[in-house]
Amino acid sequence: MEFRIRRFDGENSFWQSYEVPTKKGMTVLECLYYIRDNLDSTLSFRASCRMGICGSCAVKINGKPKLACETQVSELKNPIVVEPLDNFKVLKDLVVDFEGFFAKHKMVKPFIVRDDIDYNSPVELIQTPKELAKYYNYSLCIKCGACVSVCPAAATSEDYLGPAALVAAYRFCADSRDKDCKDRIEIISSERGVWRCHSAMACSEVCPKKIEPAKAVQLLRRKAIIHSIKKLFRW
Amino acid sequence: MRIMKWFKPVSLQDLAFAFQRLTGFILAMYLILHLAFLSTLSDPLTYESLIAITVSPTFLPLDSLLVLCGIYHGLNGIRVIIHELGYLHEHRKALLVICAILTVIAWLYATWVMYEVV
Amino acid sequence: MAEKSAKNVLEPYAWLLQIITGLAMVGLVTFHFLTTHMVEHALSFESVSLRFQDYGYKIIYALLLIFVAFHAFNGLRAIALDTEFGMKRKKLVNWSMVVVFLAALIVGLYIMFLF
Ligand code: SF4
Ligand code: FES
Repeated sequence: MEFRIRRFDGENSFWQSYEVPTKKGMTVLECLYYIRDNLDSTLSFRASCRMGICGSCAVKINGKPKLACETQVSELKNPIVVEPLDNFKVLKDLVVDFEGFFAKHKMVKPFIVRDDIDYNSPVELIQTPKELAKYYNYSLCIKCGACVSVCPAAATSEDYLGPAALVAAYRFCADSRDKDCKDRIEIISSERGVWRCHSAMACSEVCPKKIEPAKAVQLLRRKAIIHSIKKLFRW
Repeated sequence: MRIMKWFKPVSLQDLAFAFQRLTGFILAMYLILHLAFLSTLSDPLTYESLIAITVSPTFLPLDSLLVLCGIYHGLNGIRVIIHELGYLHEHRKALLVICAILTVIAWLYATWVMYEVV
Repeated sequence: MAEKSAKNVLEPYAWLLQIITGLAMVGLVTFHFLTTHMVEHALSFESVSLRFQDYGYKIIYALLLIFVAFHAFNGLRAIALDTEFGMKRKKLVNWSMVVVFLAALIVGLYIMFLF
């Protein structure tokens, strides 16, 4: 099968084609490895787990962002067009800059906040299955960036927190063990936060983990609204 | 231009968004035109001569397109509001199809009304 | 980045009002369309001035005007702020939309009170 890859060497962007002998069961990632090992050792791409867990291999395949390690070659039309993710700065070939992406993730405090944790005499934090169900789905995010790459708001606003970071914010706000969501709400209701979302919902369409980032953003927006109304009346 | 990315959809969902933006912009521009046009009401003669031009069979197709923009923006807007309030995300495709069908029906009806009267 | 602009009080209300005016307009604009298209010569000077002399119509049209103007210019504002260009000039965008909104209201009310 023919692989058409959009490459970038730091200065120029160009297309290059490779002929890969494929067989049933092969993934796009395996083909990229094949190219690098046998045809062109200068091809750069990111990957680690090869099993849809680490989220490093997301690339644009035939126009849609997908995890290369979970995309079967047999499902695709020849030629297979592979490009780096949109809405990110390309560093080399298929490798894009995730620095801003993770900085935004950090910004929403993606950890449980409590003031009663005593490490000397640790206690178990109990949670019912129902409470778990409230955020479980959103905890499956693997930070692959596919959602951000198709988000029209992220396309024109570099500082927009973006679906992935907002999913993380909601995941912790909806966690019954988390005791202080207010800080997070303040951050996500800045004008770079939830208000930039206009429900194009492209993120939900492409998320490889099917976690509906668009819904998380809306639920977060609901929290932000309630928070600001409460603040107005000083509850 | 980066804003062109608003109009490069990867799915039906963001295609709907692209159209929402486009129709919204058209309607806002029309609002300005509309208000400017109505300012001529202070002078009945100018108003009558202008209305004679715009309310005519030649202008009807344009008018009908404008109404299509309005109907789409309104119905799709309701769909977006449902989702923005956090509901029915799981049924977004069905909702989109219903919205498209309603838009076409409402538009055909509105166009029929317009042609009946002129 | 986001931390600097964390004190953001107006965006939530702008969003809420955009929804409320949007929903109200579905009814009001339909009404507007039907009154101007269902009857023959609905747009002649006489029928327009007749409608405007009626207080019911006046109130409905005043509401429509306020809602439409808010919805339209808040919408344009959101579009402008979606771009880096607009976000860098946030104050300018916000204030110019306030000005255009008020201008639209004044023009609209002026038209209404011609009658
Ligand atoms: S929300 Fe989905 S698409 Fe976005 S980073 Fe997480 S797993 Fe990837
Ligand atoms: S290599 Fe880890 S998700 Fe694909």
